[in-house]
Amino acid sequence: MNSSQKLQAAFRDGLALPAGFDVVHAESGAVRQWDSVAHLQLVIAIEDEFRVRLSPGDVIDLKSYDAAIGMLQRLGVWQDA
Amino acid sequence: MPDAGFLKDSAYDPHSPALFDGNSSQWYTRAELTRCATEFAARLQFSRKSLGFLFVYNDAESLIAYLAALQSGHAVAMLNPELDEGLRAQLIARFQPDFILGPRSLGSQPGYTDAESPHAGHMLLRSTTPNRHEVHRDLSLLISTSGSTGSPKLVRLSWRNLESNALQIIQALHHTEQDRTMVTAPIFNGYGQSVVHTMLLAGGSFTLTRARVVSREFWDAAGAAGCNTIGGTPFFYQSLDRLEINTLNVPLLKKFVQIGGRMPAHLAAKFHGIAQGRGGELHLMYGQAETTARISGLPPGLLPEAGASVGFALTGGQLWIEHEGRECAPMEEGELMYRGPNVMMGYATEAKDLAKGDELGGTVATGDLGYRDRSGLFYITGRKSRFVKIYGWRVSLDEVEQLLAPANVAAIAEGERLVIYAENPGASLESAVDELAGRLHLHRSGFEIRAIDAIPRLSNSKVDYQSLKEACRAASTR
Repeated sequence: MNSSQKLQAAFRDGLALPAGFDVVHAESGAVRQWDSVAHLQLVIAIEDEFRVRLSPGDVIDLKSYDAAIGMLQRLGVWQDA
Repeated sequence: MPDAGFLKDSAYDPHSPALFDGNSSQWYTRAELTRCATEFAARLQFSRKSLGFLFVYNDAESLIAYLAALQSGHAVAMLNPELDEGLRAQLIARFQPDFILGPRSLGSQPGYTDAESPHAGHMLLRSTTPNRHEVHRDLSLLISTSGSTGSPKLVRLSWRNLESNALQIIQALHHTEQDRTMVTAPIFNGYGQSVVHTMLLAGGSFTLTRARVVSREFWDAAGAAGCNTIGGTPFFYQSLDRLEINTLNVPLLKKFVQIGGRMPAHLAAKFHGIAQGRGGELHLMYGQAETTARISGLPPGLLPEAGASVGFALTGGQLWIEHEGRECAPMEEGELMYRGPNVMMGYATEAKDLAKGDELGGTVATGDLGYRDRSGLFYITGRKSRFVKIYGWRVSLDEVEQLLAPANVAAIAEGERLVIYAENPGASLESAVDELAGRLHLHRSGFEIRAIDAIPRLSNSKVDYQSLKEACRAASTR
């Protein structure tokens, strides 16, 4: 799997989103399933997929799919397809 | 009967802060809160004591409506505004509330007319055939025993229950006018309500926000309000652990309270240390809606050694262990029994139950199993009743089974997970559970489906949950 496939899988599992959900445009205010429980599950899913540890600041600022890409790029684990 | 109301006869300074609405960044003093509640109450002057359903978010408007309904002498149930539409309709049909308050998004309801809410974002609906059911004069608050499944089994609480439990909690936590707390749970939940009640009676203040705990907005509100006290479920502490409290702008925070299931030992030890480092303390507490909110607390001085204990009964209450009608000796396991002024009047499962008075006389069997050690500390070892706590939410196992019908399943609790046994689990059960988790707003990871050759049954064909639990335990130790 490439980076974007991994991140999409992490969003789908972490936020328990239905198949076919437009994951790439996911933003925390707009996704009903995105509560605190789902948020931490998403953090864990991303950490598992990319074998990284997100900082407390990243955990709290993880508010969208794009924000996640930014964090993974900074951590040097994001590879453009 | 004393009149209900958290703001009446108060000796506190009317200009002291009472509520910070983190959504609008607006402070309300006690006097302002009283004025708003009294204005709203003018809309709720009906000829008879009535039942109100309040669909509430954590914001000032919802809180004001709640205080207004209570001080008007009505009985209210606070409910999740995002409760699945079908479950909501069932609850309304069953209890036929005389008035309904909720966000505009709720839409009109058959049998109700718009009575014009004083708040722009809310609608106040009035039954076209009100007061068909008598509401007991002592009844103030109804709490669902399983809020997420929209359980029609409601706990009936009197004003005396609410007031006495809040005073017990104030005493255990040494709350004063100086305490400023965050409400970390929805106010439609019994724990969230207890925080509000306690702070109003202690003369302190509290912050309501619709932002979730894991968000910048939540902690900004806590910082802006100068929050020095906070409480939550074990899941709340797990989240706080990930966020690292020292990276959050809450330097005054030093009194911590935990409720809603046992906290993992490493987290209890860690937050005990954090609280001590800040010159404060961690209070571990235990309770349930049947006792308004809380039963017992562990004195912080006994941490970390006694971190697995739920402590001693709150002042004015009494805890003991019973097995087959007889009181157990220390270290002997049985059911936790509690007696105190905060014990509910009883349950209500239909509208006619609202007329009932106190059926318990101040004593309740908690449904929790445990023991007392030789020093008098109480410990919980399991549950007798059919509930599970998922991420701090109490969920009825029986209702989950019913909601999954016609699928033939048996649900049990394993730690903080709900395990669903099925004889032929397949893709259809998988998707039914996905859908149910979504409907109940519970994260799917709280549910697990397991295959079993045959669901064990008793001779009366009811599910043999004892055998199922043993099978579950055997499987997990393999």
